[in-house]
Amino acid sequence: MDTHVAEKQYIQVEGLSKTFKLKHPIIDILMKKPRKLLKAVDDVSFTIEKGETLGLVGESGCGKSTLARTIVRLYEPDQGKIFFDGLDIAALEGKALREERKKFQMIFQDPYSSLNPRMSVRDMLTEVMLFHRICTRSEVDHHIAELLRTVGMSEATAERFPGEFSGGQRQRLGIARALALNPSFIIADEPVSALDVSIQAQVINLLADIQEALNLTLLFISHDLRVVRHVTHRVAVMYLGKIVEMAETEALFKEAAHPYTKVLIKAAPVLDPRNRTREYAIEGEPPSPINLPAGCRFNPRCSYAKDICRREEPRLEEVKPGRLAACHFPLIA
Amino acid sequence: MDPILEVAELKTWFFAKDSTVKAVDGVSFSIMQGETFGLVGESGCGKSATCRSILRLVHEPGRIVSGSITYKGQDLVKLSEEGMRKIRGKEIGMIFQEPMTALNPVLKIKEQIFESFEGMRMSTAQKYERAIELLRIIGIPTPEVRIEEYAHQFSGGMRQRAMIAIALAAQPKLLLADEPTTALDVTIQDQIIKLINSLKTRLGMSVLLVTHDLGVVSQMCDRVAVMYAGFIMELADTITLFSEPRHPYTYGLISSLPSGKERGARLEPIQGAPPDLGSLGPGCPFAPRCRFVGELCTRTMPEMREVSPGHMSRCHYIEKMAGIKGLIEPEGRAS
Repeated sequence: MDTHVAEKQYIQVEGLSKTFKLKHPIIDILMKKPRKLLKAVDDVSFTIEKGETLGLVGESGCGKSTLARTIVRLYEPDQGKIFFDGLDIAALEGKALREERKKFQMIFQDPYSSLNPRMSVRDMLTEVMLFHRICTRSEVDHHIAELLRTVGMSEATAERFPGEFSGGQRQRLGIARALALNPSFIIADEPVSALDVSIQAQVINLLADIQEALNLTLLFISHDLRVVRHVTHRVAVMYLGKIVEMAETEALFKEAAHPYTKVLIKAAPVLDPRNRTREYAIEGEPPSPINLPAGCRFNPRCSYAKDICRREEPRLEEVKPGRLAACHFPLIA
Repeated sequence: MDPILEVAELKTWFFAKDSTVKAVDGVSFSIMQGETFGLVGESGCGKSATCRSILRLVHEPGRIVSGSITYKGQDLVKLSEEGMRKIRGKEIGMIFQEPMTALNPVLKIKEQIFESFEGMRMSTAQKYERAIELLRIIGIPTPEVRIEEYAHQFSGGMRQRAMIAIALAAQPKLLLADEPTTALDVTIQDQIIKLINSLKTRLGMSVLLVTHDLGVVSQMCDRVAVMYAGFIMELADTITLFSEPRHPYTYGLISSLPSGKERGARLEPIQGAPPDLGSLGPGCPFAPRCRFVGELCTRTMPEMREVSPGHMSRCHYIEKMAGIKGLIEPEGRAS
């Protein structure tokens, strides 16, 4: 293994695609129409450096959660490679996959539905750690105490059940469960979206502390641009299954290269009541990912669209150092 | 300007088996003609219960215990159920966070809009024409087609628009909007915010907006009340609240927001979690989490006090907050 490459590009996703087959209605079968396909993730490539936080933003249905789940192999990828520290985990099966999976863990939006309501915190953490052979049975209690301290909860909470906790505490437990396996890469799928603002800030701070202390690599998925701007080093913007722009966070928020990024930033409500506008950031709604338009998939809604946009799909290319955009006419050059 | 609605000392309590949850515990505010008034706060603060109390939509084990809600000279708390029926929808309309649960799944959109015309002397043709016009105003493309469809055939944003159309069909003077954009994507949220803003002006309505999102407040409200544990903690015009918060809770909410701070800069969350409403002590409910807490706070509940004309705060130690800045520069000093 080339260790140099492994260190530079800790996570490397190459040409990843995930298509779902939709139900084939009897009428369509009789009419000999082909089964419809939903390309949730379409030829996505990106890298994340060790210790870096990459943000993934986009509206519902853009494929960000599918991408996350495909990376951790909760979904089988149709195509593409997922290099994790130099090893292609898209090709792993069985025991080898299970071994590797310890190193990448997920945190979900709704911790309640990802925690077993009938298991106490201690039982839940013990189960994960013993199953994955993180430690011996005699060491478990020590590990649990340490984990709970890391996520800011008292050791006494170990005897309680998920139903007894508030949303913020449950998210702390979700984080503790993920950390129990000593992962080096964490995918957080909308980890603070269901929380109240005051609690949201607590969890964001906690994630920042843990990342620094454990030198974690993070893929942070959120629809909340304010949170993403605060938390991430770089951001990838998704639209209908494709990454349309990728850049350093501050640079992206200062100046968007892709018209869709510009729309997203403009649509987020400004925190200044003196700064109100009447016109919409964009008209209409994203089209269905089942019948994608020809050419650039954003072209029907894009105010800059020209002829070529309706014919040719733009590739994600560097428009300026450190800035990738999939647009024939990027707003910055 | 005259108030269209005056809520005074409203108490809505929920009587559980072993405790009484005082969801709304002495809330007073008024909504002016043509104004958008915001009720903002975190889950369980009583903002939705206050909103639902106005239309008397509080169900068992909840009850409006005391207080008055004055609309056009009549007290809605004391009004008969018959009288309320003339208010609901016709005088005061309401839209909800989740349109799918508020819309009727087995009725066409057309039939649901027609229901709102009930009691008006209109022919079916007139109703149809008016409904199409409404859908057009609300921004639903090809209304002639969509009007024959059911809620499940609509996208989330379209459902929210349909619900607004139904609520506006009877031309209410006041629209209660309970988290109308919370379930929507940012670009759709942006459209709905601006739609409600423009409809308000166009139809001369007043709006009561219930939300947890200060961004939505900043884009919609003229005045805001910040609620915590069943009480209004601070009430001011939106610009003042954002520039010179004078209650520690408001300030806490504002400094929890990741906005304008450098990447990686620590957020300043409010410590702890909201209290259990079933077992509040005699003092200020925010005291256990308050960074300005003093000796009075755990003993007595502070009264609402005027900070400046139209700006009220429920805090014993407002003085401690003098000079504290909010999210924006105060009026007049803006660059």
